[in-house]
Amino acid sequence: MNDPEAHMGMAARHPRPFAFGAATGPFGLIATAQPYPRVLWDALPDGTLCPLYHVARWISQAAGADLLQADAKDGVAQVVWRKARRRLALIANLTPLARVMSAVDFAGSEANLMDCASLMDFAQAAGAQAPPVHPLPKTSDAYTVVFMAETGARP
Amino acid sequence: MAAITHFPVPRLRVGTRFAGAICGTEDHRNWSGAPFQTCSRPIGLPCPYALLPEPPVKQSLTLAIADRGARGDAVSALAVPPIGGQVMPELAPPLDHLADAKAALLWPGALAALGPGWVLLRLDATQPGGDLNAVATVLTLTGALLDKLVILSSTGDTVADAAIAAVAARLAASAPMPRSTSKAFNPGRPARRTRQSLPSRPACRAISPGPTAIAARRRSIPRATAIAPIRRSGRACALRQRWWCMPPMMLRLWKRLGHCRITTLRPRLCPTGIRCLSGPWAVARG
Repeated sequence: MNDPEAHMGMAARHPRPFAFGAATGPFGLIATAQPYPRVLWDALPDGTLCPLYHVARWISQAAGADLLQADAKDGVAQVVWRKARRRLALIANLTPLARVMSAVDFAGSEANLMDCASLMDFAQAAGAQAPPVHPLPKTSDAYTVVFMAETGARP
Repeated sequence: MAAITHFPVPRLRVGTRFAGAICGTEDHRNWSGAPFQTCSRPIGLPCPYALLPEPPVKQSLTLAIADRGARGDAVSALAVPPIGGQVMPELAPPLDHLADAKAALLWPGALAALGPGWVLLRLDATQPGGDLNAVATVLTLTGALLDKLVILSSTGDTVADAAIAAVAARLAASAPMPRSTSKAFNPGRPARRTRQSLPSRPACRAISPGPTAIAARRRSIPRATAIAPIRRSGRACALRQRWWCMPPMMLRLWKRLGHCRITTLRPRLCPTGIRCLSGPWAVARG
């Protein structure tokens, strides 16, 4: 159906698998040498993880979870879902400017903040992450992504 | 693709004309996403190709926007549907070439931690050989299901069937290819997925870069496309339920009204296999 509203509704009700990019290659989630210059990444060893790798991993872990909230305001997008009786959220500043952080802040939650300062912490390995941040800063730097997980289960 | 017109909101008409380097539109509803994707290198053309500094490649898009609606605020470019029972999707990284599987396996820890639910394999059956064992290893490592897009060069149905059978045999012979999948969808019900073990006929999605649209063959396409109730019009024939035959003029009208999803102008590829029409009629799937 070409009707955009019906199309959007179809996608919302029946989610399809999503793909940000291949695992490796020119736009791969795992950085590898390419036959063209890559700012920053050429100085890092093959196998370094791009920030998008972690975003894909976080969303992948959410597969099948119930969506609770999704919106995008003033260049900040956020998605909240519930899985295994825990609420989790992904908040992204999609702009090159600092933005006021989202109001999403679970009580008793841990957050991983991926920005310019913590980029190298996230680039090392799939399990490596920057130390949890709590509470969240009032503003987020350009293109900051925050992954937040409730620490306690809720009924 | 020379031009396309769509209606983002009621009474807003947006016409787009493409000029310069050739553009093509792909229907991605059966392949990784829900959109139609228009890009400047049609999938049917050879790839990779040389892009030389001279002469420059020129392309242009001309937009014609006509707003016949009442005054009011413009809608947001990013419209989030209301929350109501949706679930988070599964990750499905693509393997556009068989060699990509070997490359990905150099980083098994990162690949496993990524936890994809699917792997999208684009298999070019026009190229001889190719090792599918690395693909099987990726599936074993990640626990992902395999979705397949098979490119054929056949110009006839019989040859295409044989090519698909050969691909199925290759997949079945790749040990360990742990799981295959078939997807089904019923209107008004959530998408349902069943898992089955090979060897069995895989749910191949075949497309042909040649002049014959083998892709339209019913038995080569899994019923994975969401079907919404449609308005019954057009001229009924011996086709089943959601398939309708109609002359091209009516088909175009339907498309303008937003009633058609998949069309082919090859009546001999009628999904029921019944040659109930003659002449340049069209088959529409609502």
